[in-house]
Amino acid sequence: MHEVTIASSILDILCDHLTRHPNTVARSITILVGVFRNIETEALQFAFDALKGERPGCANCDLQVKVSHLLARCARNNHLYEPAPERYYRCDCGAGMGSIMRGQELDVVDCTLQAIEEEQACTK
Amino acid sequence: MHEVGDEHTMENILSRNDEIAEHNREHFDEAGVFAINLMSAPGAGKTTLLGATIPLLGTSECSVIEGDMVGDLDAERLQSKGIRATQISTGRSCHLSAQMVARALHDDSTINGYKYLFLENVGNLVCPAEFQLGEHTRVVLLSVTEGDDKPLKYPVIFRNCDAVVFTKCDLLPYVDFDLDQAKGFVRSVNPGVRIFSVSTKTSEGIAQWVEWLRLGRAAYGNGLKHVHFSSS
Repeated sequence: MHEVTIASSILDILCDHLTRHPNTVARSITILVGVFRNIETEALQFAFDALKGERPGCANCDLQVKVSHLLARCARNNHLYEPAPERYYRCDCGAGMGSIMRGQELDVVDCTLQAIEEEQACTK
Repeated sequence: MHEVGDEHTMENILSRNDEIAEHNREHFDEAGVFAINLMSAPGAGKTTLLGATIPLLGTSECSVIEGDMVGDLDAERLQSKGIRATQISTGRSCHLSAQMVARALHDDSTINGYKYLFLENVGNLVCPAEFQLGEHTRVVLLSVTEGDDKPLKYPVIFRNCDAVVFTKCDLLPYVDFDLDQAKGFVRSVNPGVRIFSVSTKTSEGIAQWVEWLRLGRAAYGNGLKHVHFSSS
């Protein structure tokens, strides 16, 4: 299940941020996943939640997933359109996908860290 | 809540894999090796195709890195034909990663002295699409026994490749596989992809496929960073 690999990569990035900001813990991380990636977001969430406890400072981190929908240029006339599987990813003119403008992202877009003192104060 | 930390910029989640893939590519370029990532569902005929392809390219000019979850049967099959094959057991991982390939490259003899390196990925139409290995070109196999709708069901892998090879074409009279429809579906998601129809039993299409690989390596030799061929 490659979502485990990807969740581990997300945690690697999170740990890099924690290293750059000592005495903090991770509260949330937001990622952008394009629909034209082979990523099942529920599986990714599951893998992230399963792995985060093994990483210092990440045990209480929430994973937020934003989805980017598919937008491509027609290979024939360069028009923008939203390819859909039920239309065989083809443009109305019948041509297939040229360049993909959106929908292939797999990026961290934001993460929120919290100072440890504040986190401890909040939990009292 | 007091936010601490960087203002945020987009960061590719697979950046570490991609960095290692770039290092792998540097090794390939330094060694003068043209690397081909071969992907497909289990049983589509990757190993068999390599067994037919490599003797025509020159057995002494080709090396193979085999990725399988368990065992070394595929590596043994190729080794029995005198083909240099290195097995990577991926364990529970359903795909090769750049790190796995990098470890295989620690043995210099994996690529030194060769002109072609085939990276035979784990049989899977989903996960391998996501992971760059450092290859110069990506090829997806689809056998005619699998169903002509697979390019629509697995569009990501068919999109992110430079060639599609329809295998086992000698079985077309016996299966409900519309080859023209399948090609049309492939072109819907990847209009510029090169398509081959082959049979290792009859040798149909093998010469054209081998010639494409030779052209690929020749183009690489002219300094193209990523080799992509049109259908012409």
